[in-house]
Amino acid sequence: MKTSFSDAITDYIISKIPPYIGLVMLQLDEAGMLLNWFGPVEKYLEKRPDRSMHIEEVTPYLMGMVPPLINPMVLPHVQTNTGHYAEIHIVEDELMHTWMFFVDQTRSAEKLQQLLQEVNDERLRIKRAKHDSVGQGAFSALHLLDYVSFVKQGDHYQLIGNIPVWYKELKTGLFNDPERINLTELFPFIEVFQYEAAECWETSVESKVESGIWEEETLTGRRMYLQATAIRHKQVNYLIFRPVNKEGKIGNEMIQKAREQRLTLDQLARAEKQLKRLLQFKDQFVSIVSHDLRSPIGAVIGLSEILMDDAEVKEKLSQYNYELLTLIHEEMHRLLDYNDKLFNWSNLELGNFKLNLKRLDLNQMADYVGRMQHLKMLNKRIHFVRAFEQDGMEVFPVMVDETLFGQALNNLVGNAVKFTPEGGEITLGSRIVDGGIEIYVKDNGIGMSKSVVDALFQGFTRTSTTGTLGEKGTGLGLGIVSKIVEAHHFSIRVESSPGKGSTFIISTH
Amino acid sequence: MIKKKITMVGAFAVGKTSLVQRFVNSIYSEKYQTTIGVKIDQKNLVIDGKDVTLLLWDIHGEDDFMKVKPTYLIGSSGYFIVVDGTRYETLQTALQLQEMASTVTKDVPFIVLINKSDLRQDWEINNDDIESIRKRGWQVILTSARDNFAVEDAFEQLTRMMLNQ
Ligand SMILES: Nc1nc2c(ncn2[C@@H]2O[C@H](COP(=O)(O)OP(=O)(O)OP(=O)(O)O)[C@@H](O)[C@H]2O)c(=O)[nH]1
Ligand SMILES: [Mg+2]
Repeated sequence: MKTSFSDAITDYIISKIPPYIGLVMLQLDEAGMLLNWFGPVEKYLEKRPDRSMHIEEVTPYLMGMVPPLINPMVLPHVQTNTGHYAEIHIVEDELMHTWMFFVDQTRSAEKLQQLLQEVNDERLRIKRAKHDSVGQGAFSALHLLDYVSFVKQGDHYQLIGNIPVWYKELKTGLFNDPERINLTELFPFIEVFQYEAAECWETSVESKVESGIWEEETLTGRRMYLQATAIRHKQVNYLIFRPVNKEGKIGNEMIQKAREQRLTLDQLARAEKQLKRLLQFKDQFVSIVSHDLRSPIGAVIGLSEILMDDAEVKEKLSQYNYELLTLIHEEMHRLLDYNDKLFNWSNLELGNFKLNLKRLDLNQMADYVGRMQHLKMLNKRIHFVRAFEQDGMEVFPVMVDETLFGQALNNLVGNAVKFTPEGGEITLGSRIVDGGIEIYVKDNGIGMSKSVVDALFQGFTRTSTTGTLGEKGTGLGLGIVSKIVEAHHFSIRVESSPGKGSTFIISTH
Repeated sequence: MIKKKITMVGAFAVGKTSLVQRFVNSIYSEKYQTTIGVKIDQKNLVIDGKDVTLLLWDIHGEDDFMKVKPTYLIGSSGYFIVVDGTRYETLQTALQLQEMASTVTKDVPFIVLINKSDLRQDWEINNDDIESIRKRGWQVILTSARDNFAVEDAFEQLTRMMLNQ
């Protein structure tokens, strides 16, 4: 197979196609007939491919696209009939063969769809809300002044705008269909007033007439005084109600207060909701981006490994250049690690995980962490000590998610390794204290000042993440630890002072 | 067999997908499902005795988050610019998209569809606006994917314009 890739196509693949399992490639001759195909083709082809088939038989949706109209032609996010999304690359080589690459984008497209759907729905909703209030003119906002407004349509009254708080407190205010209300049944007083009102409504000019005041009872047994006003405005008849005090003056202070309070609360709630959404948006964004960054980073690591392992290359490169190559490799690993942490962190923040609780086996945890940190500890000749105080307990009564908790301990021990000088000691231990069990990671490293300790768990820290051997950090590790601890409903604290080492203590009670 | 590519462009939620689905599958849904990227459908037609296969490229709406990529338009024999009559701003988006589309497609025929004509009482686009689009020499058709109003006509008319090119 390899022999059939021309140089140009090889270059194209290396520079433009992310290496991942599941890539689909098609090779077509100058007439568009299938020559070769690779990968899980059934994801994108509508028929099983065969050597005598024309491309338009298997991908009818790409009719007219082969040979490519521009070279190369890249179509992102093409949705296939099978429900997959792919970025499709159509490339012609110097033999006039056309190559097609299908890079799967289903996951990111679905996420994007979800996000954009929400955004677009919201924008349409805002638009519609504006529309509706414009349609009802100035009267639609009268509820803000504690008025209930109706438009008279024939014998019916139709509610416009929203309902103020007081109206919902009325005993008589119970109705099933707020759009079509029998007002005279609701307020017998209106029976009398409507004759006066009718006179106003039948005039051809703008006019207005006010009713007398009448009394209603609220659900809580309070008395409330109401007044109605009939209005004729721009050929439309309105009837509006408002609460007044006994003397017929508007401005029942209680009502006013309640309304203002509610408005403020509504606004606060809305602002909070928006903020939450924005934060989530950010986390989802980070999650998608870091996920998608994995493959290109992986590619660079893979490629640099190929170069490093190639004896011929090694021979040709100067010592200095080879060191540079090693450096690229190392730095990319660090980037990958950072990126993975970002991904974990954003998913923790999003709540994209489920705790799978099991009884904590500290020895097993220590094995895991020891394995993960083995090389780094070996480099610095650090002793890794276990100090488990079980005190006759037959089973260790702490439940954790092994993967997440292991990650937290690994981050803590990893940190300790960084800040502990050569020949130091790191302890992973447990102890029984009043009312519960604590798990701790203790080192005899450089320790921290109080101000550093105080700032530790405040999200990202950028302070002194350089280790004793110049190790670089991401500033994300502790953020992840505290998220994991939080998810378990545990708590974490630090005891440390400069020169005396640090102890991170997780209380499991 | 004649094959032609038609691309649907326009702001988000103007009814591009609804028009294509109405035309191709005779279905309509009130539920809004925003399109990501492109979905390509096919429809066979007989126009003036000629068999034509239309490839309908239904692409995502243009907005600040997702700009329409010119590549999607390459190879189009014609395109629709879809506007939502109830949202004036979608007309402005349409004008910008037309500029881009005409550059990419080298001036192939197109028709402006002002959709959601069933909601005429809520329209923000009035007759003067429509007149001023027609004055540019552009074809304008008022459609409703919901009520199946002028949808087929629009596709047939554009196809005819493409065949006469
Ligand atoms: N009343 C009415 N609603 C319509 C009509 N056409 C589409 N809609 C509605 O408008 C909304 C958006 O329609 P879509 O066809 O998804 O719009 P789109 O242009 O494809 O949107 P994007 O893919 O996001 O760019 C949906 O809720 C449809 O039901 C129409 O003719 N009349
Ligand atoms: Mg769509």
